[in-house]
Amino acid sequence: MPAMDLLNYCIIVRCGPDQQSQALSAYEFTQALLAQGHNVERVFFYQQGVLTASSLRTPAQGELNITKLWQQLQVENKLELDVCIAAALHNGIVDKTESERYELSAHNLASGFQLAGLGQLAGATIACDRVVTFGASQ
Amino acid sequence: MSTLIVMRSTPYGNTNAKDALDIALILATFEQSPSLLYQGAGLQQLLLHSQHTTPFKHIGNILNAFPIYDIEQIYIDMASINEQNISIDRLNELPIDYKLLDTKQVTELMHNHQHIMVF
Repeated sequence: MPAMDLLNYCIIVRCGPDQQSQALSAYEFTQALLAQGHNVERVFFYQQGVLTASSLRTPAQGELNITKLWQQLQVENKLELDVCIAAALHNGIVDKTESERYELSAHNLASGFQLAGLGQLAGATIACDRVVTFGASQ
Repeated sequence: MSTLIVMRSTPYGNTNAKDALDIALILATFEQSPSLLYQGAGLQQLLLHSQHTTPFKHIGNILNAFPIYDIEQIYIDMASINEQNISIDRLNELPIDYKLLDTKQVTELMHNHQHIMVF
């Protein structure tokens, strides 16, 4: 068999962390790509996907914490986890800077995640061989 | 050809239509000239004079901005027009040029793009 081409990927996560199978598929697919030596340019959390980045999520004991899984993967692979800033503000996910800007009482962006504009997604479509979306609702 | 955005959601009920348009506009800003394909319930986004009232912003106005952003590759799935019971006169009122595609042409369109995002 010929050697597999290593590609550059962008992953888009559009479902919330409670849509377990799709949210988990996004994580497992990304993990598999990295394990096979592919490059993951960035993971872009859009729409309900931004809820993954809340540091205040506390799933019941024994349940999978998808936020923690992404954080682990981020540390191990220096992965870029971009959270759409417009969707994040809309859904109550803010970092320290935005919290101060809008004079909110707290901030809750989980470590390892960063707020980013849609330009990051546009950039990824230019740079990446493949853009793979998880959790599209219709 | 770069990115094809497939519009399959009604303008109401969820934010898919708006979120897809945001991506189209930003891609255009990056000079990526995205293509847009309206399919199924997505065609309802093109009915500009809808009687439906909602406290949300009407996304129809964004269509007027397409020429400014050089978004010129607009396609409508012909089969969806009947399916959605839409008269072609309504589509002729659109402030944008579009191309009607049959099923075979829709397949070709998808083959001709590197990335496809479905909303």
